Amino acid sequence: MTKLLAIGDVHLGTRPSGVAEDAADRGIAVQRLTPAAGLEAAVRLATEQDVSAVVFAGDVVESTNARYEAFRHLEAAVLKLLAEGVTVLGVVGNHDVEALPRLARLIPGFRIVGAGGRWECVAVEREGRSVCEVVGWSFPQRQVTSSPVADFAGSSLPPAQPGVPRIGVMHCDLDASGGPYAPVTMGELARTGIDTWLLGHIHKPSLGDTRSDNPGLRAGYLGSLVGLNPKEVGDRGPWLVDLAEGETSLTHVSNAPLRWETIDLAIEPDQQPEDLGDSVLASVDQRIRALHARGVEPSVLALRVRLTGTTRSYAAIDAWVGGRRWSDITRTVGATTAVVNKITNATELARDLHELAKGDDPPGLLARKLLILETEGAERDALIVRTRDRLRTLADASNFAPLQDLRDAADPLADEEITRALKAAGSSILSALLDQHEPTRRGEGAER
Amino acid sequence: MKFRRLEIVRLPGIDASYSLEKLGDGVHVVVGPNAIGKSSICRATRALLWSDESGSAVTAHARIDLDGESWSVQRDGARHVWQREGVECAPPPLPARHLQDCFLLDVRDLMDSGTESGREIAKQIRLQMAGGYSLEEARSQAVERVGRGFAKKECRDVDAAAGAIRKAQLKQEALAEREETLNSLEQTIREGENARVRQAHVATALELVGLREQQKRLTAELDALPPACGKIVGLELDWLETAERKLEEANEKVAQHEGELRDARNRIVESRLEEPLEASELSAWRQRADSWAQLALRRETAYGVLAAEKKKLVNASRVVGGSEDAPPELALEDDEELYRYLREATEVEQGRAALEQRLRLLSGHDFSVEQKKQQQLGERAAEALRDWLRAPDTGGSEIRIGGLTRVAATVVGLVVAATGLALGIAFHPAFHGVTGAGLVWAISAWLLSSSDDRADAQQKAMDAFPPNVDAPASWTVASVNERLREIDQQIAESRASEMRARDRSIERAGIESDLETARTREQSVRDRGEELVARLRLDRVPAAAELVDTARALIALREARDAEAAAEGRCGALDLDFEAKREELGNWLVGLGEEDPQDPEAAKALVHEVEELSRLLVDSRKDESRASDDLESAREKMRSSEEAIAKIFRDADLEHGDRAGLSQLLGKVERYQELVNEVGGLQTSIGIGERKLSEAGESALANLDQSDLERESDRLASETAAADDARTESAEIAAEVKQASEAHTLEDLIASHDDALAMLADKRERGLEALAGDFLLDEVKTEHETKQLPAVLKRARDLFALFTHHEYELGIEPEVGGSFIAVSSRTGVGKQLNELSGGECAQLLLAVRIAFAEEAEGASPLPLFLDEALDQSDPARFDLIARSLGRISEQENRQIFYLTNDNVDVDRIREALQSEGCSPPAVIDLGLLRRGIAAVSSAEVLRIAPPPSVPDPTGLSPDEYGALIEVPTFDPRPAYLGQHLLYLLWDDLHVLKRLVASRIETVGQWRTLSRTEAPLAASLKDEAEAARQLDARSRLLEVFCESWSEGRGKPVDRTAIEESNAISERYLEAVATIAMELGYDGRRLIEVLQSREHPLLARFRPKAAEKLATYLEDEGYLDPRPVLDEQDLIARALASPAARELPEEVCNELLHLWWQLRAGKQ
Repeated sequence: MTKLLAIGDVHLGTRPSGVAEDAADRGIAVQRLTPAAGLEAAVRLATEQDVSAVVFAGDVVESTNARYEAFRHLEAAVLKLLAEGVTVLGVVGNHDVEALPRLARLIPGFRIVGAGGRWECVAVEREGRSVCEVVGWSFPQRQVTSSPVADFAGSSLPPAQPGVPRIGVMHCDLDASGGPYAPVTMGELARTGIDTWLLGHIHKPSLGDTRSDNPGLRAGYLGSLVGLNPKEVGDRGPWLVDLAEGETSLTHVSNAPLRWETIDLAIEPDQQPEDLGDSVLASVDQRIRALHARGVEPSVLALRVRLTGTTRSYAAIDAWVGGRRWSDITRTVGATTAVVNKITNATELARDLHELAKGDDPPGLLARKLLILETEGAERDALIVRTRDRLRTLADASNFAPLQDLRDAADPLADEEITRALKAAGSSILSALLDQHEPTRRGEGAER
Repeated sequence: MKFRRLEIVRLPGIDASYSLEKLGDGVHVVVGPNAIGKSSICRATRALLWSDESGSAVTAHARIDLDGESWSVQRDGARHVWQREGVECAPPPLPARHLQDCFLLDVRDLMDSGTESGREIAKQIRLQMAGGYSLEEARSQAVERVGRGFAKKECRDVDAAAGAIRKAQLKQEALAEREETLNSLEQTIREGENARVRQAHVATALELVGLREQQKRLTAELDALPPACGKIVGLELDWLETAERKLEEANEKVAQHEGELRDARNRIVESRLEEPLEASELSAWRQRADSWAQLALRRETAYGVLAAEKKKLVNASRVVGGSEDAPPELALEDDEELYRYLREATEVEQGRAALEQRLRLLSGHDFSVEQKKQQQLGERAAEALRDWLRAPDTGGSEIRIGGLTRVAATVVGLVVAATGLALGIAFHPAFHGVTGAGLVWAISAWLLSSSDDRADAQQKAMDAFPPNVDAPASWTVASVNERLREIDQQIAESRASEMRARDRSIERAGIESDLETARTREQSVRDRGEELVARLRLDRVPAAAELVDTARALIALREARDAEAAAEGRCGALDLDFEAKREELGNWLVGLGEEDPQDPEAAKALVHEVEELSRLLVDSRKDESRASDDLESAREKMRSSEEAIAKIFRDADLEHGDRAGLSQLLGKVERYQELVNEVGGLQTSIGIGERKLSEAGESALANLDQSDLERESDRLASETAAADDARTESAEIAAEVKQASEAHTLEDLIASHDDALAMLADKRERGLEALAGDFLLDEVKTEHETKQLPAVLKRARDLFALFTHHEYELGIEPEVGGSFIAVSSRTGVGKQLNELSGGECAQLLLAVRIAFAEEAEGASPLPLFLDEALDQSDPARFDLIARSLGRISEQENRQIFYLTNDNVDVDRIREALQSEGCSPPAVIDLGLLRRGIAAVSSAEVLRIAPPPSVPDPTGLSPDEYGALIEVPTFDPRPAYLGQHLLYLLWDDLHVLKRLVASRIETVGQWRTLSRTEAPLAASLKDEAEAARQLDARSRLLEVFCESWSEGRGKPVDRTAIEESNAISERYLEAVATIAMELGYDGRRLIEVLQSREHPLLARFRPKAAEKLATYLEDEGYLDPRPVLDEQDLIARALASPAARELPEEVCNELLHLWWQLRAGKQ
């Protein structure tokens, strides 16, 4: 059996942002949470597992910081692997289209597969014989709007060697309807005749996902090596690929030094803000122990906590959240230190909106709006459209133009975003309105 | 309620009573000069209806029609009486006294925006509208304010972070560019190194140039000297003298060597030898002569020895009895035999004597029979004592084992053993254990049973003790033991003596045997002695010493005979050798002409003479040869000197013997040689230099002239300096690259940028949430207002819109205490009362109070008294208000009194009512009534100009019609509400005409109109498609204007510049002028100010430009967003909701029209 180590988007030259404002004061060395640290861990794993090759699926380095700071780490990793007799291969992604080929030229032994946007097959050898073949394609320029796999059949790839497994590697936008990042479909990959495709580009790992439309095909994203921002939650790390004739097993090794998580914390209707800190701490502790039970032990667990449930103290909780009174929550269990990156208030007022909506006064009218959001339909769509028109000017304001460059930037005018904003704002306003007539509230005590 | 008659009897400021009679239902215009009493009518009415306290000095009464009944009210000081149909009664229901101002309006009331009643009205309206909830309070509590500068800080942080990244990247790029130059720098360094090397070659070449120049000069000087200088060395005169001296000496030598030659040849003749003898030969003959002489000596010695030996022989013979001449025949062939005999005889005799001695010593020591008897007796005694001691001590009882006697026990043990053995064999091996136990038992019993009785045993022992042996002192154990030890000691000693006697007996037997053997051997030796004596012919066997002497004498005799024979033989041999040598020497000497020698000494002398002659011959011949050679050498020297002398002159190119010429020539030789040396040295240096250049491959340099070489040297020096610089720079770059690689600068900056982006995203999220909250609140507010809008506000809004030609819309501003505001339909901006003009303010409050009066009065409308209330209105608005009043009067059956001092108002009101189709007003000329002086002098005075008519658009294009009605140029920059309706109704100018005729010209006016229940809007929407689309078209225009304004900012006029406080007084005028020149374009203005190239900006400070830029950016005058092009702008507008409400072709037509109109302007 032959083993490979597959590594997704590394983005050397960056480090995760926003772990905690005062990370250093809490003894957290952010330099040990970087993609470079993740790559070191991957190299150690490659050595321990005695893999034959390490395969990078593009975006190895951050184009904005490739020349010096990223290069040092890549060079160290590649040279260590080569010294261990491990073959090092990689395809070029949209982020390192200029940088990676240049770095590869400076690091003898680091082989770019499919350089210049052509299909290429590279044999991985061990002790003088081919143990597997890696077929790959690299970005020739920053943007590629057509599917590279469309040229696969017409390429001059050699026929597969008998008994030598063959896998595919590329950086692409899987199942995207167009777009500038090499859009490919699962069907196209299935027609290549290669049953394992290791992909880069999207930072959320999906290689282990099953596909009912192509059950024999194993294709998906390796994901980022280290979660680069709070949205990159869950397991991160390299993949061990065990190749055998007719059987390929894929194992995601969650060894990133930093792990992002989002947890929902349901609060009680009468829970007061001063108790929230303890609840958050308990939830954090529980999450760390659950991870340790799985054998996942990141150095730092950065959490985003979403308060859910219904509350009679909406304004107070909102103030507690907005006042960042939770920002110093830290919990260390074993080798893992957890910090709270952000807490959001997704609670709802413990009021019977249906009862409130019976009135024609402002709370009643507002309650009707909130009820409209609860149910899909034309009325809800119309409300969202009107809101979107209202928000568009601000959303499109030039002040926010830089946000278009954010990785995995969500559309602020998407239905779900608008719905969330309306619910949050509506709950807050409703709370404020009802507070004006505290003794005469209708529907008091009723919970939905 | 209608006043039919009003009489004022007494009122402060009224000097005489007067009354207004036969008052009608509609509008009354009370006209009269100031101080005629117009306001008194209001005061009297106030006192009558609301018991105004000021009415204490009032006396008035009125007749009133109310609800079909006739009422009267009388006020006389504090007395206030109401009557209905002549019967005193309670006053009718009237609005509260604080609302009286709603019915009695004068200019002062309407101009005073802070009156209690106005605020109270506004408050009550607001509360009524809000249903008891303050939406604005909720907004302030729950919704973040999204102002103009929202997220500006976060955006700046992002920009700053991006800028820092860019700066760091630029630094890295610059470093990368510098890194790219490393190869070039290395090349420069290598070139510099090469240049440094070549510079040395160039220096060599330059040196060569100097050397060649010097060589050329010296060579010319050299060529001017006689060539012969080159052949001579300057020492020629010395050489000449030396040569002449040598010639003379050579001549002398020739003579000398000729004499020596002759002498040598004479000595050769004297030697008599033809050839000299070889030294070896001479040496051999000399040795032979010497040998012969030595032989002669040895021969003489041998003869002496022979004589001595003869003498010894005589003596030896005499010792054994011989004579001098005949020695005896006695001889002993082997004297060793004699000595051996003597040694053996002595040894045998001594051995035999020793044995005999030993035998004597051993005799007399045998062990006697008595001693043996005593020993045996002792042994018996000892045995008896031991038996006595061994007797057992039974204690007097029989020993029993296991209750059995010893025998029985033994038997039992044997039986048990036998039984066990049988059982073991028959049944099981375990029974052998029983066998073992039985045997042990039996053996033990047996051993015990073998003992005797002690007493018996002791007695027996005592009996057995020998009687002739001393018994123990007593028969006790101690005594017995003591005696037993003594007897054992005696026995042991006896036995030892016995053993020693036996050993000596054995040894004596052995010695006796040896003695016998020795005696036998002695006899044998004695026999050999007798035999030996017989052989020596002795008569007896002498004693040993004698026999030794005899043997020695015989030996000496034999040795003397041998020595004499040997000496004689040696003499004979020497004689033969002597003769032979003599003969050999004699033959050789005779052969050389010498005598035959007779003795060795003569021979030696002859040989010596021959040696001398031979040496003479040899030496003479050597002398002859040397003299001959010396003679030849001298002659050669003579010839050489002559040649040297001739050569000196020949080399000097002089006649032989020209010493004067030679002296003259030699005077120039030193300089010549200096020149030659210098030229030669130069040539050597040149050669070295050329070789160095050649070896360095730089031969070409040797061909360059000095100027070329100096230029090349300068160039190379420049390259060397450049290489030094390059080396420094290369090291700096390497250090910077190392630092850049090991740092985390860009990584940190990217993270900071991401943090800033996250903050910005959060800010946007909060902003959007806030806007969503605003949106919800607005929706709730609108919805609530729509459903819950108080009639009084609705009525007031309609009236105010009507009064202002729909220029304004009435609103309530919560932030200023719930007061009223007028919202411009052109700009959407609300104005507080103190921001409105006097007329606008009066119109607003008039509308509100009329509306509120309607609300407050209940079923029966009260009369309205307007005291110069429209005094501040322009004619057009006056007309509108007057029409409204007429309509109110008609529709509500309300009595209205308009009090004015302006006669023209009478005609205005009349025309307005006429235009509105209302009954003409009743005019009460108060001047005429009270003073008899009419207020209106003539009808001509009352005539006013008719309003301008709006032309018909038929046959005119939109452009032409727009120009005709003076429509301003299309400019999207101002708020869309101020845009002229022509640009919305481009395709229906008739609808436009109707709106303009109603003074509705702008989009804002239309929107205000359309929200009211004005019949014009309704009728237009019923009649024309374009009018139905006007709302949607206006929203589309809103999107267009907003989109067009992106990136353009607001116009920067003088006001904006002043408000910025950025520009000093000194430059304010100049900057305002420049702004105007630039079309109020803020961006270009800042560029010009920052460049400071404008002639008006001498010494203008850059900081002022920065401050102004910051202000303009903060206030929206500068918009950093990019300007949209036509395609993007239209695409965005088409995506707006308004576009979805309009036909596509209308949308496209309008959007392209607006773009072209704007483009055309540009």
